[in-house]
Amino acid sequence: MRHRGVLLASFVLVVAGCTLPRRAGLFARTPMAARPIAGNTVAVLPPVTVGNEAAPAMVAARASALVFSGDIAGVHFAALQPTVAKLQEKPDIFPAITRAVASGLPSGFGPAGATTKIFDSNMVAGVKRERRQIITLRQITQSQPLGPARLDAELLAPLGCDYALVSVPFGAYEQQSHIGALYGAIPLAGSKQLISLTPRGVYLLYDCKSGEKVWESAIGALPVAREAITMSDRSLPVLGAAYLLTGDIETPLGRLLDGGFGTDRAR
Amino acid sequence: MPRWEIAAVLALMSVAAGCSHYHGAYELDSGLRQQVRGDLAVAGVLDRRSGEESTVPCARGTAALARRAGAPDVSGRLDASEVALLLSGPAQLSLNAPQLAALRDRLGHRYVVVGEEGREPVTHVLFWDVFVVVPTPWVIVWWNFPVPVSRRNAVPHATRILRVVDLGTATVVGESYELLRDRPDGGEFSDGEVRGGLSAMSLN
Repeated sequence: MRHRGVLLASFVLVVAGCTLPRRAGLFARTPMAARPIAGNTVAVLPPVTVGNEAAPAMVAARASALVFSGDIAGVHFAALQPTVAKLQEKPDIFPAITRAVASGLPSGFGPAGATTKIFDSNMVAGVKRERRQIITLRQITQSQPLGPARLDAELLAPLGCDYALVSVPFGAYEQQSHIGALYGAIPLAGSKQLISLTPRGVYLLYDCKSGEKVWESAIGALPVAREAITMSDRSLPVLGAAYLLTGDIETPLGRLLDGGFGTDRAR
Repeated sequence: MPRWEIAAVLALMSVAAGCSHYHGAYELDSGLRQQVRGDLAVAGVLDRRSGEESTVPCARGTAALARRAGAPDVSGRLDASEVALLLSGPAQLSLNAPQLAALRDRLGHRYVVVGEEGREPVTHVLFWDVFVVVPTPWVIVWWNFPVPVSRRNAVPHATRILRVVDLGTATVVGESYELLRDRPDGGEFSDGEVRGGLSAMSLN
């Protein structure tokens, strides 16, 4: 009898685990609300790597290739691979863009603002998914400028598009030192811990004709649970960028889920 | 011992727990592991503890990597700038795909493992944790209110990185990233750290 009970409990737990909604949270600081008008073409550049860790850019590149693999809300995204081919023909362009954007990044930004639910359904892009997808967003519009106000138009002209999307995904780390004080008055113990903050990235949109920055956002994943950062977590800033840029969450989310993100537990 | 003292000790024990380092891993795809093990070479380890632009080969780290990876050491056939290219970001790798394809032909291996003893800026935050302890006859209750009191940006820390690069597709296929609590001069590779890094990428 006891074995049956254990089996039944395990079955219930497994079924519950499979059917629990998948919750994902985003936060963003988007000081410029302008969006590319539907019908224009946006070149998605390969993610700029800052620091020594490659994983944030690797996962962001995979996620970008999926998310921006076609039109979203009437905005045409030029695929990553043809853009890389154009950059290979002019090898000075990407290092120059990297130097320009990497120097003006914010040292740190975190969640702020009210939370809104931007998606809640088990039907994503016309396909019924195993788990209901719930996505929330905390956003504020105040922020210091995130990248250079303009890039040299000659750098962007060879891309042959109306706009260029530059992304800088990165991992952020914090060393927290704690002094424990009884009633805040008697310090008795101390500790140090090195923690990884959730994945985040800076997204900048430039007008290829004038070189002017027309949109920018600092986007991160909200900590949903205290567990290892997964590949899916690392793809969330890309999803946020697609949503904030086009106003459509379902199309990019469907592409990520179809591409295997959102189901893995790989770190 | 009075109950409030027991409570205080219990509460403060919860503060003392902490991690000395962060170890992140981008594991090799399960379908790729066997293929990588069969066609892997060791490209070397760079000592970049003095700064990112440094391209000083690290013989000790390279030897440890070759021992633990069980793969041929081809670092002697690469110059430091080529090893530095292998350690550059994914975008730089894809933009230099033709150069990596030529490297593949020269080395006769499709996959290379490369390492770096480096440095990374980390934000330091100091918290004053206010512990409020309420002992009752049956249970000890406490609350912790961490109050941030100071913040310092870009404090250099030591890093140990191992990366597997696919020269055929010009992509990084696996990475072990270790951020240490030490200052940059403390992040040297030994056999144990190399083994841990390879294992984190599922390459053992």
